[in-house]
Amino acid sequence: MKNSEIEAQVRRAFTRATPDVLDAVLSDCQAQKGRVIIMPVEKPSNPWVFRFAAIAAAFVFLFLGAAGYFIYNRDNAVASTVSLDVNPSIEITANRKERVLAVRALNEEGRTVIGDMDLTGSSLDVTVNALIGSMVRNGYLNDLANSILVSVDNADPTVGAALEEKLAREINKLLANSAFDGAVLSQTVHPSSELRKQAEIYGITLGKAQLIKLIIDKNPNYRFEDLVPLSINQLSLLASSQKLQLDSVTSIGRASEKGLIGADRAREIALQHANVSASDVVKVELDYENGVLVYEVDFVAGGFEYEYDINATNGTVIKHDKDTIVDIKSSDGTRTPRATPTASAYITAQRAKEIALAYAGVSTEDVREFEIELDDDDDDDDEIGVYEIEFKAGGDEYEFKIDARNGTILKFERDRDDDAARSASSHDDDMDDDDDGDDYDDDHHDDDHDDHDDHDDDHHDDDDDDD
Amino acid sequence: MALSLTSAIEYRHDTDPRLLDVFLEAIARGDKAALTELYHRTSASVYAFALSILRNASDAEDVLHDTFVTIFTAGATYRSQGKPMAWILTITRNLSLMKLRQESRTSELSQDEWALMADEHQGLTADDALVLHKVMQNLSDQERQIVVLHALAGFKHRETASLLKMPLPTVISKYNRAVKKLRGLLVRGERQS
Repeated sequence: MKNSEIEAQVRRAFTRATPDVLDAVLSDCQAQKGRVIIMPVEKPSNPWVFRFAAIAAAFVFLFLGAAGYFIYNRDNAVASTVSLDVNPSIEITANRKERVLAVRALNEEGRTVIGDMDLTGSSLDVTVNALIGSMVRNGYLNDLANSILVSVDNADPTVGAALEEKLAREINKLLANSAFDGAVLSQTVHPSSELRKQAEIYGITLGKAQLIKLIIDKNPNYRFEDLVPLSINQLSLLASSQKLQLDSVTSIGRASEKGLIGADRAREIALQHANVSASDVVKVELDYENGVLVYEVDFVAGGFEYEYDINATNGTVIKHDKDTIVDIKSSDGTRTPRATPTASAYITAQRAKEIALAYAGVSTEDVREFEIELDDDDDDDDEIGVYEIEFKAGGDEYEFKIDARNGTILKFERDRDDDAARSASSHDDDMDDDDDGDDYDDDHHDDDHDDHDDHDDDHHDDDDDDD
Repeated sequence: MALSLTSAIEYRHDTDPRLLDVFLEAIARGDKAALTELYHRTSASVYAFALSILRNASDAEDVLHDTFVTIFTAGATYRSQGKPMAWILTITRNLSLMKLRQESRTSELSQDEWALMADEHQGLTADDALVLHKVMQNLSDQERQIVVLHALAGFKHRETASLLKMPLPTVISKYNRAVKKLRGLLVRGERQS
């Protein structure tokens, strides 16, 4: 046994044996603070002097009262609003002397972080220190999610920027003491009324709202509400993977990718799945689709264009698509027709079905609502001689496109089947049947559900515990 | 891996002097949140050090309480010399020695009592109780204090020497002897269990 191991045992044993007397300490400190020292007062002998003194005193009180009121007001005016977002979101308001007026949690995690700490009246430094400490203790900031966003809202931009810089530096110093590398994003907030409204609607901080808006400005494919549930670490990864320049955000350190499989691994999985050796990978990019972080892998090999969505947390292939490169245009811009296939050259619909079922690993008796259609029109969709197949099996919905000439699978998609999921979960709930209005909710539910995900995540957790 | 777990634990005992100084400054102004934060980070060191002097759990608990109340009231007198932990543990040491003189008795806990404590204490395992018992019973007072200061408060031998007012070489040799003893005891303990 090494010295460090012995010391670790000693440290653990004593730490666990330490009783918690904090409450007693705090209440005893209260009692001490309330000490009153009574000064002996001598009665003035001359009543005139007394009266004069009384009048003078009244004026003094009046003056002090007014000044006091003025000072009181200034000290209770909110000068800065500072928000901290990790996944817990917390908003701190402070006066011009950086005394904390209020601390507010914007989500459940935020409430856990604050616990029963009463930070009102503390300095901003101490409050931020205490909150970051609690975030680390509660496991919200760690090796897998190391990013924190600090946003400062102050009417005076110079003061705001100085405070932003100071807090970012302070937090960075705090995280430097922990066992992981932290990443601190900081910004000053310039809230428009629209931004305030968005923040209020989704119950997030102005800071997070501004960050999301910055990302959407750069990539309009995202909708505001889709990005709300993402942690700062995830948002930061999205932005950096897509090389979105968020000019107004200063960052120290890098967002942790340890919770994800990484771009290289995603590329490997896609190539392996397509059974293609190294090819021209055009693009590997982190994206957020249907509530899941995915690596979008696009590449070209053997005359085909491949598009993959790989689950960024567990490496499952969520979607893949394979298309022939059809961009063959003659010099005058008209499309060169592909070798015109004749119907006799096509594989049968039965054969196409067999191919699809074999690929999906589903047996014939499990298949429901099977539909097959041969797209043989020379319309504009570039798909001539393609079987389009849709069916359901188990809890999933499958969609295939199969080349009718040679049986190659051009497209495959598997999605959670909402109807099956619903009837399985609420068997005797007939209320739902006539209710079309909840389609939106169903979609949402569908988004973050994937059997594979669950399984792999569990596995991951086990690993964590073992160590 | 357990990384996140250890990071939390290490952070909890993070006794970076710059950080503790921030808290002590705020405490001097009567800031209770700062006191709470300081408590979270240093209470285990304070308690362990008190226990290693007093060898009595309930006395050590009293000293733990009194140390933090004293820090709050005496906070204004603290002048940072970059050694907040040494200042805190000096208070603990003085309070503990005072208690020793007052009562001039110590009732040590037996292994059974430590085990009993383990039952009452959430999170204290039977192994922990065994470790505590070995440390309390088999090390001399000085050895125990040196080990605790090193293992919990993260003191360097030089700092331990200055706090306990002992020559540095003595601290080093006592530390080595103590760790050697513990190694033998804990390995044997493991085999028994």
